Amino acid sequence: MSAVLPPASERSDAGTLGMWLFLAGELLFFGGLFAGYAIGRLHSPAGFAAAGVRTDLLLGTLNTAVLLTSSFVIAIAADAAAAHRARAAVLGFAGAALLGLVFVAVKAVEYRGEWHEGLFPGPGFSMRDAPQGAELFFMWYFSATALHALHLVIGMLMASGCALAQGLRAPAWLRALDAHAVALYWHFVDVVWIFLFPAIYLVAPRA
Amino acid sequence: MRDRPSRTAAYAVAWLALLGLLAATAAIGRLHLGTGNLVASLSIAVLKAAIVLWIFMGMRHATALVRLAAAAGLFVLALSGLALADFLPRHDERAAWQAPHQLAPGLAGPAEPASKPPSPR
Repeated sequence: MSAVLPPASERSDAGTLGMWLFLAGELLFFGGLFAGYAIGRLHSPAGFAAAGVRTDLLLGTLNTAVLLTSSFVIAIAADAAAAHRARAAVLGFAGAALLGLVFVAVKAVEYRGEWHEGLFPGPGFSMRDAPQGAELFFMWYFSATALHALHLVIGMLMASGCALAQGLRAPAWLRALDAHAVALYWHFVDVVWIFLFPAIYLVAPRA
Repeated sequence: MRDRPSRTAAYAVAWLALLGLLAATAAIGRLHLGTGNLVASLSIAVLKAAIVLWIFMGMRHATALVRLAAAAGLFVLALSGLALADFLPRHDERAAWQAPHQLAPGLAGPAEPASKPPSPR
């Protein structure tokens, strides 16, 4: 065997390793966000509890189920792409992107409700009589969920690309998309949401 | 790659487990357990993340190098907890709101009086 070229098994792993290194950096990005949340909640437990119960638990739970399902679908799609089962890969990646779209749509409905209830931080913030920290919670909530949604939209674009790449006349740059790496990114965005869910919707018991 | 049917089965089991855990955490979130709520919701979140990491993200089949890259990320993430070392022992010092001209003059000289009264938030 050649001493210069790494074995094929290692070369095909390069995309996976590269994505993991990128995700390690992303962990720092979201880690800082969660550290900020911990500080806010430890210093203003009453304000965070009062604000947390104003979020929509039903829509939040629904969205979590949608995202977990999308991860299931994209895991199957990535395996199908690796096995050159184009039809299953197209269905899987397109399905995951579609579930991502459902998530963003539900999130938009949630945002709309919160905006009308005056929960967006600023001069119109309606929880003026709530304990200190309520506005901080919603500042964090909108920043964190918007950043998460941005990641999800990037994932949707890449998943759509993976679906299109299965076409026979797909351009070379599109076919170069590493389906497994895209799936890894998608799962990471899912994991971030897994931690956002209790931080947003389960701060304090309802009713 | 040879054990594809079993992989899809593992994905399905993981998916059902994740949905079950989601239902559990949403149900526990309705109970008044005090600190128990935080402990339960965090434990379930860690468990769900572990399932995604191990099965969906293929950590169980990953090479040592990939596992090392993931572990490095988690290690540095744990370090960001050090930010709490400063904030955790501090108390919030409450003070009444003060107009800017009431503050002690800085090193640059006496502070200029506020030209107009600030609007109350």
